[in-house]
Order: sequence, then C-alpha cells, then structure tokens
Amino acid sequence: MKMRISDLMDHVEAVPVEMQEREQVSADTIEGMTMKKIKNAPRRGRMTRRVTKIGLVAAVLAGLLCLTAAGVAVAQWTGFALTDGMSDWEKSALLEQAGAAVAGMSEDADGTTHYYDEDGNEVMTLTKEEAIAYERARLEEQEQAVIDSTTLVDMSTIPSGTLPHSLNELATDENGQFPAFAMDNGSMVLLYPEGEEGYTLSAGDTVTVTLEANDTCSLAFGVFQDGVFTGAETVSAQQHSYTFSIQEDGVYCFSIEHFSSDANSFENGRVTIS
Amino acid sequence: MEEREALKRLRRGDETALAWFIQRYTGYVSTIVANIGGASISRADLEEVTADVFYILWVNARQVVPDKVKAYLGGVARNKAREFARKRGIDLPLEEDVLQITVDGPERKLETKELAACLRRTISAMQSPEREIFFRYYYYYQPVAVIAEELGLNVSTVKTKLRRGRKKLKEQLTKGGYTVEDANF
Repeated sequence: MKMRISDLMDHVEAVPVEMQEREQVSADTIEGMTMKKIKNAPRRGRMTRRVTKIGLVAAVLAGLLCLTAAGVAVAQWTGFALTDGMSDWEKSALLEQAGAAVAGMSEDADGTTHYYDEDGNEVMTLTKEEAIAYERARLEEQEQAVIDSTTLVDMSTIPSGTLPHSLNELATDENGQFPAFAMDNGSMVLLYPEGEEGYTLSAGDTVTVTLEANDTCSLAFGVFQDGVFTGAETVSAQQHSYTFSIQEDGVYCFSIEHFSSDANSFENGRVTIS
Repeated sequence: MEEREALKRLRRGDETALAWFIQRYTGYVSTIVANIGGASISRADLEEVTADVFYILWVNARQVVPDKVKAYLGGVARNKAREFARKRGIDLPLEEDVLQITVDGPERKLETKELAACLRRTISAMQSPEREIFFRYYYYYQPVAVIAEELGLNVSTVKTKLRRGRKKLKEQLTKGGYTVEDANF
C-alpha cells in the first residue's frame, strides 16, 4: 500500500517554526473577511452556559451557606467542540483531554463530600446535607441553563433529571450536512436547517441522520415536533444511521445525545429527507 | 497586549482580541497556506482560506492552549489548505513523499495508527535541525530551497537531512514489522 509521509504527519502534533512571511496578504483585508464570516455565520455550535460543579454554583451556594468557595481554573475541554480544521492528532489530543478534564468528587462514609479541581486539588468540602442541597441547586441551575440556551425547541418538555448537561445547535446546510464536532457524555446537539426554525415535514416523510464517530459509541437520536420532545432511541455503533418516520405534519428538530463514557469526535454528518 | 491576555479576551468573545491575533499572525498563516496551495491558489482563495483559519480560531478559542496559539494556527492553516487542495482536485506533490509499505505476515493489517506511532518515534529521536527540516518539508510543505535559505544551509545539506530522516523512518517501520520501499503515486 502506498502512503504519503505528509499524510502521516496528520497524526503528529504541530510544531511552530519561525518561517519568513513571504505572502503579502493584507491583515486588514483578512480582518474584514473574518469579521464578515462571524456576522454571517448561521447559529451553529452555540454553546450553552456550561455550569461546572465548582465556580458559579459554588459561589451561589457559598453565599447561601456562608462558605468560602475556591476559584478554579477553566478547563480547556468544555464538553463540546467544533472540530473543523483539526488534524487527527489534534482531535485525539482533545478527546484525551476530555477524559482527564472532569473535576472529581469523593464521599466519606458519613456523607461528607470533597470536590476537586482538574489538577486534583481539593477546592470544597461539604457536609452530607450541604452536598445534597448543592447538588440539587447545581442540577436545577444546569437544567435551567440548558432550557434557556435555545429558542428552537422547548427543552423543558424533556423530563426533569434526564436533560442533557449541555446543548449545542448545529445548522444543516443546503445539502443537509452539518459540521464535524466532538462531545462528551451527556452532551446533546440539536439539528435544524440553516436560516429556519426547524424542518417543515409532512406525514409519511422519512428523515435519516447519518454521522461517523471515531469509535463505537452510544448515541440517542431524538425528535422534537413543534418544539415538543416526543422521544429518543439509543443506538450503539461507529457508523451511525438513524431513520425517523414522520407521522404528522409539523416543524421538526432532531437531537443527538451522547451516552458513552468517553468523549467522541464525529464527522460526515448529514440529514436526509425523503 | 500580551498573547495570554489576548486569548483570555478572545475566549470572552472580544473581537478586538481576534483582530490582534489576525494582525500578528496573518503573514504566518498565509505563508503556510500559500506553500501548500502553490501556484494553484489564487490571491482570492489564499485570502479566503486564511480568513477561514482565523474564523476557526474565533469559534474554538476555548480549546486553544495558552502559549500554543501559533502552533494551533499553523496546524489549522495546514489542514484547511490541504482541504482546499483536495476539494479542488489539486495534487500536492512533494518529492520523495510516498512510501510503499507492506505488512509482514498475512494475519496483520496495515494500521494507520501504528504507522503514525512509528513516525512520532522517528521524529522525537531526531536532533535539531533535522527535526525542523523534516517538519518544514513534510508538515508545512516548504520548498527545499526556501528551507535552505531560512536556515542558512546548502540545498544539498537540506536534501541530505531529509533523506536521513526518511531512512530513520524506514528503519522504525521495519522494526515494526513493515517492509518499506520508496514509491511514486
């Protein structure tokens, strides 16, 4: 088999070199073009306000319980990333970081709970009762953040306690394609057509969502009809293809929620309607 | 503004921080894109791909590691330029880039991950300036003559060091149970 060394270099970490800048491209021109791309970008990959165990909620609870919450460093991995422009090595590095980035907690026999930042430093200790209240407040704030993050659908129609911990909207283009991305356990993406609020479909239509993962993983494919969540089904595969049969006329959005423990990257995503 | 501060602001959605990065790195990014696109890339396309790179920096600011922005931009520029070339059906010919690899033993398959691991081992064992020359040529597609000029070396020295790097790669692949020959597409 023939292979290019330059192709194998996709799997190597980029090393910057001090090269002479030979191209006379105007930085002002690039600035104008980039700002235009930002202004014209469809609502894609819009991040929810991610609520971490430590940080904002800790500060809120600290105010309630008169505790002192320690500040923690912002993790590099935030649960979701668009991976356009990343090499295979960079995607692998991001997913490895995802595995190591989750802040930890441990519980003593009496229910005392210890919270740790990404470096393993203990940043907060709560009694059993405080921990229960903290976790409840954290969950409520997180769920509210997810509900507030989109106007495409009503996320509160997903049963409480089963909402994803983050939501990102991904627009499909005129070919039904959506961008490559990575996400971790409990994250969800919401698919909708660019420039619209959902897919206008009729009874009898079929919708197939396809995407390729870097590895076998479990995804729940769900559907929102006229903004209301109607259900999801979980499938385990690497080459995913899920077909929805539309029973009623309406405006639809489709969701993909990640259920495997390790983060995964996804590409070649497409929504096909027939 | 220091780069760390600029990255913090960029993560908060500050467009002036993005402008700062654009002013600082447009030359670097566009040079990489132009190396890869070669004569086939027009000025308009060069500007478009360069702007795409900074757009990706804007979208993925939170994933960029402080003090590694230049490496990040270099990697994205390379990937976007290669993607551009692929979409336009432009061949990216580098001399002595192709290896004919066969696997010893019928039960074993050619695994890209294993090959890549051999390459990473080879590169990490290289000394300077061999490693930098290897990167400039095979990662950033810099012409040999330009590498020689920028590093203050003879063209023949650069070619020798590239040849040595390829030989070391072949040795690593052979150790890994592969049979390797030079080839052309």
